[in-house]
Amino acid sequence: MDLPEILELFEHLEQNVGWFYDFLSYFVAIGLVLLFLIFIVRLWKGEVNWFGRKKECPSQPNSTPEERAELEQLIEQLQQECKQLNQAVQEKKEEIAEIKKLYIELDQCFADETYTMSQIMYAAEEVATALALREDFYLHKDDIFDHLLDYIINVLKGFREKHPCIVIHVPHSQQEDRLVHYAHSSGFGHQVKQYEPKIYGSAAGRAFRNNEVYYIPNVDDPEVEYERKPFSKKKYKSLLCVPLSAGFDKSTCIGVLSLTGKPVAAYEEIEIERTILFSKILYPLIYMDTKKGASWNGSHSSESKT
Amino acid sequence: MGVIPQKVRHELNRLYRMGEISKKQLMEEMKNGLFDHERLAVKKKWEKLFAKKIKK
Repeated sequence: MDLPEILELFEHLEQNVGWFYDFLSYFVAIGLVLLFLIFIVRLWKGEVNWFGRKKECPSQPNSTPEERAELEQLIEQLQQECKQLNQAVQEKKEEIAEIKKLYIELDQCFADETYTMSQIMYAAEEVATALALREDFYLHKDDIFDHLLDYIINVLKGFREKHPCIVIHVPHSQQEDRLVHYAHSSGFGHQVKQYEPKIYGSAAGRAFRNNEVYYIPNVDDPEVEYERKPFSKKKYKSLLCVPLSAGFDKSTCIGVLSLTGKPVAAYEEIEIERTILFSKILYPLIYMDTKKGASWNGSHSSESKT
Repeated sequence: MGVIPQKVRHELNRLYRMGEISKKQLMEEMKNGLFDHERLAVKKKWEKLFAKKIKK
């Protein structure tokens, strides 16, 4: 059937039925609308472009099984590398966190050291003042030592928990086998002045006779050389005794600085070292007062309140 | 910044003993920047470094 015959058939149908061309135009219109909608949907899904051309699907490459296997292997390798890199990043993050923590710790130690430096400077300044203004020293000896010993206590950690107290003993002028009270910090009762440690049989005595630092972490330990006083109301467990000397020569030892601490093993190495350092700062003042007092200015420490 | 007068130091010691100021306050007041320049300079560098890292 050729085109003129088809047209003739259409004419024949139109003449006999009357609605054929209307039906044909609706049919064609609906068909065109459907085709347009299908195009829009495919365009939206990305299957075709604006010109109706098919897009290449990247997920389905035209590759051989060998190439595909190679690609899969490469993906697996990359995933493995990615996993390793993630792990390395995590490790680095942990390292950075640790470094930050260490830095803060180091900075706190540094701050503590610079603070200790300031306390050393102030203590040295007050010793120098006491040496320069002797009259004033003899008049206010108790107060001066109270402030000087405060600087030592200031550089100790945990003041409230340790409740540190300091007492200084020097050789007894009448009893060769004993030491006698010279000065003390706040925190002690008046009875501290009455205690005269034995040179043999007390912690202070041991530090004095050996010219060595003697640290007792727990005075209740039966092995330690410590004088247990009957009916004592002692509130400390730790005791640090530092000889007041100029170097290793025992003959230069002029007394003992004893530091008590409330808990067992109250003091760390750095605190012990700082106490030793302060004992060296106090040495010239105590030396001048106890050994050279008379020739120094003609007066003597016995005039003092201590 | 500098040396604290003796009377102020003694007062700070007293306040610390009485528990009216903390150890941190005592340290800051006593130091008043003394001996602390290098530490603060390093701390500033450190803070700057990590501020940069956060921005990135």
